[in-house]
Amino acid sequence: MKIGICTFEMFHGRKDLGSSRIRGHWLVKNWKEAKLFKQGEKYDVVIYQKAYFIEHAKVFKGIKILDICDPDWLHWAYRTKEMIELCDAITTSTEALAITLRQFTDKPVLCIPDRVDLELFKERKIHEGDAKRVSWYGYSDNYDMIKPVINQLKKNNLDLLVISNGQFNVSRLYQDKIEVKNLKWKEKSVNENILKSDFVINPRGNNGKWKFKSNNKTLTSWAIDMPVAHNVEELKRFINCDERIKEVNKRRKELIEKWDIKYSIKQYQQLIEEINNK
Amino acid sequence: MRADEKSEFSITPGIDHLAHQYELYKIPNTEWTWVAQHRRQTSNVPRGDMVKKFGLKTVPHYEKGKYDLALLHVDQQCFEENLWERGKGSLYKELNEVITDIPKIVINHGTPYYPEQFQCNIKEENYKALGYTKEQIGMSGDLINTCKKVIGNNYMVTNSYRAAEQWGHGKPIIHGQDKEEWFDLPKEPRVITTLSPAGLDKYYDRSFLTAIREELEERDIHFCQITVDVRFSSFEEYREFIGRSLIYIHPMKEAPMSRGRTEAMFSGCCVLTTPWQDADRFIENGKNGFIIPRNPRVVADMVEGLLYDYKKAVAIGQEGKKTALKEFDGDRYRKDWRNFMEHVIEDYANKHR
Repeated sequence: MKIGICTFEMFHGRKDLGSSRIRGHWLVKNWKEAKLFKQGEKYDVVIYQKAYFIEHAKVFKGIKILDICDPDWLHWAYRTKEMIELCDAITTSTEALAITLRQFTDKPVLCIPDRVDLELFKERKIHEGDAKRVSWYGYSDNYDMIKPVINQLKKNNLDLLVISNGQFNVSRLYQDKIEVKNLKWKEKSVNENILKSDFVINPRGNNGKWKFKSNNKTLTSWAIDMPVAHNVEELKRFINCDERIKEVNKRRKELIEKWDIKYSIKQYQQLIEEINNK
Repeated sequence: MRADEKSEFSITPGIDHLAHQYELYKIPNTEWTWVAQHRRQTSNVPRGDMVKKFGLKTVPHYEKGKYDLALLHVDQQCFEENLWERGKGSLYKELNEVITDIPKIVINHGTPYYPEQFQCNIKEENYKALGYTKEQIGMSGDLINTCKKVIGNNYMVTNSYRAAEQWGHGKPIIHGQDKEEWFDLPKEPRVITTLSPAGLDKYYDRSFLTAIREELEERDIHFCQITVDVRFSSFEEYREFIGRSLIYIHPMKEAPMSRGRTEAMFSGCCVLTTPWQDADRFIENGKNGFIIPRNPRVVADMVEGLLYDYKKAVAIGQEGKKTALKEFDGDRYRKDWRNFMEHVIEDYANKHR
């Protein structure tokens, strides 16, 4: 069986996009039958990774899976319903996305969470002493999530490292209180740079797109033995080195048992088999 | 393949050339199939619903043994690294890898001139030493060599004689259209041009266009750039607008045989054009149009003069229309293409026997 994954980044002529890396490239790397979609090539199955390739889906007779990792329907320009109608099944990166999408269709909607290609994460953090610096990484559109944490960082004497595509600045109130260092996000150096801190902060919102967001940044941090604080309680706990080491050991086990990319491939294989058997 | 035989072709909408393809679909005894792609959107606006009109089929992938010939598109922008990997060039690259059992004709819509990305290193003093011709002076050696490599054994068509000389290879096929598709209507004393707002500033000589616009605006003459100042929701609306326009300016430097200028000629507009890319082969200054120097003030003087000598502008527009009927006839164009396709298929078969 020949499977083509048409990624969001190739569909839009872009590169280095997180969702395409996690839900496209990592699958292809570990799934013998899957390849990145090539125009003109024949496939038995096409997974449209956030690619609303209506022209193709209309004429392609094989198995079609639409993979959604964002609430695209919130923007008027997306043709979510039309694309769903053309596909055999929908996969999502979170259960929240799946729950909403099930309202739009009776077709199978399966959550295949973001997982990690563990082979790619060779770097490991050696934890020593009390934490002095935390890191945050991601797209600059999400800076609003860091702002409310700054006060807590100040209270706990923690400096901040931001690894992003933009420049993060704290308000004047905090400028002399905590040290903020900005580094450019690059696939090659991001892990190495995260290791320059003692743990990662990943505060999350509950409104709008946030309720649909996956935990992929948490998983990739765990993969390099970095604990992730999602709230103030965790932030305070991870200042202590023993707590960080305890967390690292717990998460390593969880990664292997639950978050290895091979489980996503199995889920896809099962889904394809079910569609085939219908 | 003989001219009376029906043949199937595979066509891929490489770049925004829907109007070009519209004319190709009319070639007699051919059936075209469109390979679904995600690099360029199709639209019914430029030429209506071509799928309905020509019974065009779309297929999700290329299938060996089904077609006689494939048609692909490139221009010099495709060879830019980013566009080659992820943009419009990637469509050519991918399909060229997939389609391996039939001859491929590649329409090269551009010229080796893209100074923003590729140094134009061929000069009067070094062209011989570098192994280029006099016609290639001012062009980019990098682009010429990349194109040669990328086209490989495929067959390349250019849109002007000049472009074929500049690339150093390629078969020029001058476009053609059907006269009955264009409306020659009573002319509003308006000045227009057609030029997309996207990319290739030096190639299109956008600064000259801007200078003409500014010079005209100083005289309170508002110059309309179609696609920027006005957009149309259908082919009909576009034809009606151009058919009612008195003066059409073609200020571009390199674009080989602009389709907009030909459409203006078919519509009876009085055309003012730069001499480049074969324009001086069919425009006789002051008879069927005007050849303009690269001087915005002179162009503005000419436009102003013609606006106040309306009858003369109309008469010259009519001469230009006669030229269009003679030089850019749709039947001739389809015959040229049909002959070339037959030649390509035969040549390919001989080479692969």
